[in-house]
Amino acid sequence: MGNGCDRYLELMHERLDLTITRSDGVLLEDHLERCATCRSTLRALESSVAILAAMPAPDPGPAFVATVVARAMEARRRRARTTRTFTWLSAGLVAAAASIAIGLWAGIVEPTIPGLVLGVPRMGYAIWATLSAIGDTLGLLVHVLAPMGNAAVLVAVDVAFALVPLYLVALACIALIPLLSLARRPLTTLPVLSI
Amino acid sequence: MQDQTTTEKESELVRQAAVGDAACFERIVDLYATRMLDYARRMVGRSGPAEDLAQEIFVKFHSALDRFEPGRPVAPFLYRIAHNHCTDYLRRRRLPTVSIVREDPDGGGPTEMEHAGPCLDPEQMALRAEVAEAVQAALDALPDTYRSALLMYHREGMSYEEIARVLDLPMGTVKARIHRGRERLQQSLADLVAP
Repeated sequence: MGNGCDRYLELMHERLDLTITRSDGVLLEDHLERCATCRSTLRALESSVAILAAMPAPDPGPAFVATVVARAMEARRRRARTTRTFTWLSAGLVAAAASIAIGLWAGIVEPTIPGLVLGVPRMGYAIWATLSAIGDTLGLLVHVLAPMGNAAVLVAVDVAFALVPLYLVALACIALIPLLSLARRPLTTLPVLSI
Repeated sequence: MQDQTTTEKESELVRQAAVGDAACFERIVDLYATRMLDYARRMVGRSGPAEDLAQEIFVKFHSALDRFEPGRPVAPFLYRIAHNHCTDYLRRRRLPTVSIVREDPDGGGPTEMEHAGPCLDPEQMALRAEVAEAVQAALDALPDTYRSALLMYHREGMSYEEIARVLDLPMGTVKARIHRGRERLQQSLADLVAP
């Protein structure tokens, strides 16, 4: 294709796109009548795109659709699990932070809260907060590390872990009650030993 | 270009699929399976994992259903995902450029591939194995940017405007890529399409 023919190449593309104007079409036809190289180029371009368009499309096969649907549904389940884990993780972290904050506030900053009335030492709150945070963390670990299973089982395990400190505090209180009642009993009520 | 009724029907299928209707998603996959597999195969070549990529395109499409604008045609949305997925794959694992000039098994240096002979009917030519191989090799030799635009235009029948939307490019750029792509394709297939 000579230098003078370059401008006709764009017109050939326009002709292939069926967007060539009538006047440009006449101009191109005139040139093609005189230029064998451009005639050949246009025919080659037309044949190339015609062959490209006519190439048979591959057959996806009978299992294609079912496989795609199965993979998409599995991906959807994975996304849901990730979202759930992230939600639990966030909630657990907030719960752990809240436990520590409440424990610190109750046990150190504000020593006159009802814990003392129950006979629990004020540092008991700090201990409770720490245990509670450990419980929350263990619960989180179960969520993050456990194989993806039944969500209800995971929640139950998490709750059980989170409640561990409560069991310990309850046990401690139960153990303290007899001691406290003994300590508050007036001396006069002590049985007098008869000699 | 789709008519309005088809667009609305497909848009409704997507809406249903987005709220978890697996049957509607299956229907969309069924409608586009051949086209997506064809696009993936032409983009990554015969040696590439076209079927796997096509499946992944649909899985990505499924996870992006909530971003689909109701009432819009499905094809550009799907092709955008397909284009990004295929170009990502090609970027990760650059495919070697395949020349349509192959080595002579007798060691006599490179020889031109036998061309299809005087048959000039594009449909008949496209069915011949050696032509299919040569066209795919010519496509593989094109830059990704030219190949995707060329496939969308000549194989999918998309307009310049639609391709520009899918590729997020100015229409002039798309037009230039298609024109340059055609010229390179024609040069690569010169032996096949020589008048």
